[in-house]
Amino acid sequence: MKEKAHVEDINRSLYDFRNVDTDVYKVESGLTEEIVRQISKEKNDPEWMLEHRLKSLEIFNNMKMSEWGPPIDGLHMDNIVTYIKPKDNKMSADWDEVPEEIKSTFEKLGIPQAERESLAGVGAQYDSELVYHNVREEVAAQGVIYTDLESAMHGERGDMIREHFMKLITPNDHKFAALHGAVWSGGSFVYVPPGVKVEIPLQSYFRLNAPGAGQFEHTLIIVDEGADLHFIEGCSAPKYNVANLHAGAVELYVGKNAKLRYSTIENWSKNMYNLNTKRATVEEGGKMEWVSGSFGSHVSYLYPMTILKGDSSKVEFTGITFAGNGQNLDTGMKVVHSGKNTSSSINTKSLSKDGGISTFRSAVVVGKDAKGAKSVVDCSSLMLDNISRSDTIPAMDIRCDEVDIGHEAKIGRISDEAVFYLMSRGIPEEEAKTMIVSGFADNVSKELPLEYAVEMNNLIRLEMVGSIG
Amino acid sequence: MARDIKINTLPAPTWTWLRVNDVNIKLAESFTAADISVENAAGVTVSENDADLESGIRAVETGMGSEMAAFVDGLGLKVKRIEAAEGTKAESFVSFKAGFTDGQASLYEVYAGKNSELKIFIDNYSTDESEGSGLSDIRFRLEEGSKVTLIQVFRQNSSFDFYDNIGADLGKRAELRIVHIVSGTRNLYLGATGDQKGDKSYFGIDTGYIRKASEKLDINYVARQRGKQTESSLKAGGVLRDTSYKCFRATIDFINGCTESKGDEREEVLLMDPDVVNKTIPLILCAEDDVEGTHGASIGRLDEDIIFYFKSRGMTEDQIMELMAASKLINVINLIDDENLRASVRESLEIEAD
Repeated sequence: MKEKAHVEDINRSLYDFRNVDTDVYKVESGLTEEIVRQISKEKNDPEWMLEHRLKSLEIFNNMKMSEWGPPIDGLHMDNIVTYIKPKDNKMSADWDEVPEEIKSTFEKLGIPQAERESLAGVGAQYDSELVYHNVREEVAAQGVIYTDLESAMHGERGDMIREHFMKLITPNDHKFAALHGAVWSGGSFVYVPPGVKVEIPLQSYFRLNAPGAGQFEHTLIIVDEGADLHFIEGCSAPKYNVANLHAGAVELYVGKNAKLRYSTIENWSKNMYNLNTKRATVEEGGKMEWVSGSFGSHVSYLYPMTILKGDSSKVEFTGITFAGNGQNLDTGMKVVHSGKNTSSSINTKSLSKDGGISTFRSAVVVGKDAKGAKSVVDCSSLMLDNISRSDTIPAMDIRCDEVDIGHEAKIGRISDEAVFYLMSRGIPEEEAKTMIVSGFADNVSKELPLEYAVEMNNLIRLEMVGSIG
Repeated sequence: MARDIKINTLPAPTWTWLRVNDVNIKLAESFTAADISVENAAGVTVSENDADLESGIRAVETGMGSEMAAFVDGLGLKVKRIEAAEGTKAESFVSFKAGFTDGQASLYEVYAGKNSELKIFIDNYSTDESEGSGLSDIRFRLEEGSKVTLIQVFRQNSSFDFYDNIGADLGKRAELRIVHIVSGTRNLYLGATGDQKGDKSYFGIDTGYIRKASEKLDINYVARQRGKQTESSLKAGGVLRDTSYKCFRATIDFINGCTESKGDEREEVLLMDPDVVNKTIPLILCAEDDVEGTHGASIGRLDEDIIFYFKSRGMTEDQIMELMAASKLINVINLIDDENLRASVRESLEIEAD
């Protein structure tokens, strides 16, 4: 029997602090028309948005759950509070105006520091509402809009919001898209004008503090013709014994010859049900880049989708998923080749340890008219013990002959030869395995800005390093 | 009266909108026995019996699933029992010529005794040009150390639908190699599962196909790797022309305990016309860390350089496409380690020798 190093579970104390909510406004738990109307009133929705919410609620109530994917038996909507905010919440562009306890939360997470050092703008959401939103003057001077979605909806971009909101992700897509449509709150709107390159990233950070609560932020990004943007999304929550739910939505419009990179380090606590939906559409010559690290949540359903609508449009997807004890993470991607001469490149890695379940699920669809489509999918899975699980469920649906589609997958354990090689160079076994796993995740870390690559590598190291049994 | 049956179910379902999780078919309630002639091999016993309800062979998991298996069991037809006694090494193939017309079925039970070697060839063809459907069901029990090769040809007429269902129970060091050669039939459904309970067992399928006009091919191959040091290989290669359709599901299932096992899935598909539909779903399910699982798929049209090369040698584009299509079948025909049988198969498929 081959020996294995024993590794402890992750030390999440960095993220696992919590504030006791004493002065909050919240709706009752559960999901009723009255609650949806209450949320809409709280947000001062225009009439069309209230109608949208109610229609979404109707769809949610009538739609069945999917028959695939991890079980979500532990999620009971009757127990979820869909809207909660500090009583006198007012979004600010100045950290000093943010309530002390909330400000301290984001300081512990390093957000204000990151903003000062390396970001063009930041949005910080706490439970159901944004508490802070700011963009650098020089970026705003370029005509870049980065604001909370609700302000934008009521402002001069209101028509633009209405034109795009939940048109890519519709309430009919699946049950939790419908739920999102009914109770969404918070989230950001970004517009980058034609030809503008935003040199440093914008970031939104989502913190879910309240136990038994749901977060349903909506991110809408429009990158106009020839523009270029890197957007980073981060999230975390303290761990509770009750379920929390995240059913956010991200809609991305990449214009002609534009480029958008969307990076996410997902680090929800292990009581979280992360049922998130992300979708991008790319016009002629445009490029969409996804960089995705999934480390948290109890259960995840996460499949960023890209529609390559325009001729010569492209997508690159780089992702890593690490499923540990108590986690069932079902992640992957979908791409639809619709225009001519489109290309997609997907490179994903997954790790399972300590009873964790990781599933890679993908779909590459090539439409009838998508002549010249090229797609390469490469997924690798590493099993760190024999009590975990790793499944690969890719699908290709090709309806055009002038294509070039390749798919490769492999699954296995850490190579004994690689460990032996490093140990023969004086590196202890545990460190050798950590190095190998970090190297395995290199596809993602090298795509991230340095600070986020460091955070990701720290998360990996925390998962791997422990006592030798 | 027709019976609705769900077949070829994906072991782990995916998005419903892809329409690949399973297939719903309609079958007539009753079938009669197909016309089967046998050319036996020395050392092998072929007999016709009632289905064996005692040894457990009827309970073997099949590729088309439990609904189809139960349907077949309910037909009440006699079964061709093929037995190789312990230690028998059959030198030549047991050959079946299975002629079908509408509403006919052929059922087989294969018993390979300990350390036996057995080779089976089944030629499935139409006895007339009439429209219809037929089915074949083969259950295997391979004892320790046995080796079985199964070659099946499917060349029914272009108005005929056919369902071929296989289930195999593999003991320690048992090996089952299956070759499927698809050159005919309107809508062809293939399902095969190998339950590798025995350590060091091997389960491999090689499929070569040509689909043209509006023909359909729907496949579900599953390797359940339970024993230690098992190996599996699920491969398919073919050509789609005109408005044909193909769905290839292959599953390697590494079950906890199957340490040091390996599994590989491969597919190469040549798409030759703009209205074809290709679906490929290669699954790897893994509950064991000390394994190696790989899959690779390559889908597209013929490389322009290759077309240019053959054109420069005087071939028309049509001739090149025919040649490429034939090559996919030749690849699997050449896996038949019997020269006479290879020649016979090529002749029946009207493929010239190399």
